[in-house]
Amino acid sequence: MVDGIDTSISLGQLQGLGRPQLKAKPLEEGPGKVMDSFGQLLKNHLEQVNKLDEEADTLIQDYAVGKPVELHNVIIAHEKADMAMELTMQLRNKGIAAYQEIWRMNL
Amino acid sequence: MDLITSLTSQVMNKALDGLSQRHKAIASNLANVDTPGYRRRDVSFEGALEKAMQATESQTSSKNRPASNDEPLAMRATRPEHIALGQLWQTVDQVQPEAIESEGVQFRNDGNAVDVETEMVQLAKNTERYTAIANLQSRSMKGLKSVINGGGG
Repeated sequence: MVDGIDTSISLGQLQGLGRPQLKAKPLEEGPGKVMDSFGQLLKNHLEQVNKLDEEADTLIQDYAVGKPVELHNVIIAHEKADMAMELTMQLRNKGIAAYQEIWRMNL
Repeated sequence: MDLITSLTSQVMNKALDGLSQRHKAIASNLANVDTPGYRRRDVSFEGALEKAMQATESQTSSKNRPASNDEPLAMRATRPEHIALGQLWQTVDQVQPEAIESEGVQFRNDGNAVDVETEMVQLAKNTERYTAIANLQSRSMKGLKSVINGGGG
């Protein structure tokens, strides 16, 4: 379904197009800001994935050298790290797919 | 350590080496239940492996850290020509499982100190650990592979 063109825009507003007053609003909510917060989100996510991986590694090392760690904890930690990694990879795939979708778009 | 060999995977490798040798030792103990004068065999590697692991970890982290004056002076070989002053630490790769023979507790007069029940318990324990670590090893490899394949396979 395609929404109709918004007819409520007044002629006055249209005439304002291209005038300096439109520039009065800097890119506060613009692409730059969105990119920043998205980048932060991505960074947090990656940090979390890395932390999970390190935890799993430590547990595996402890188990291998015979420290009294429970096997199920080792497996669970490893599985968590694995899943986080898988999620990251799928996010990356989705991102690339979206990029390619836009790239192929006919203008 | 290189691109696809992490410290963890090295440690797992060495642990599997040691566990498989221990398996042989236990099998030999069980085979010699009735051999007069047979001494019980075992394999020790955990202590050495843990030390090597910690040494490698601290070594690699201190390399990345700029030397500060607070640290106590430690001798180190900075060139290959330097004579190693008795290597202060082992890398994980250098760890070798060590076979030990022990008296054990003798219950019999023929000098044989093998207790079948104890050996069976050790065997079960050993098998469990071997299977678990082998599994973990293969899972880590699978994880790495899926990263290489970009999550596709």
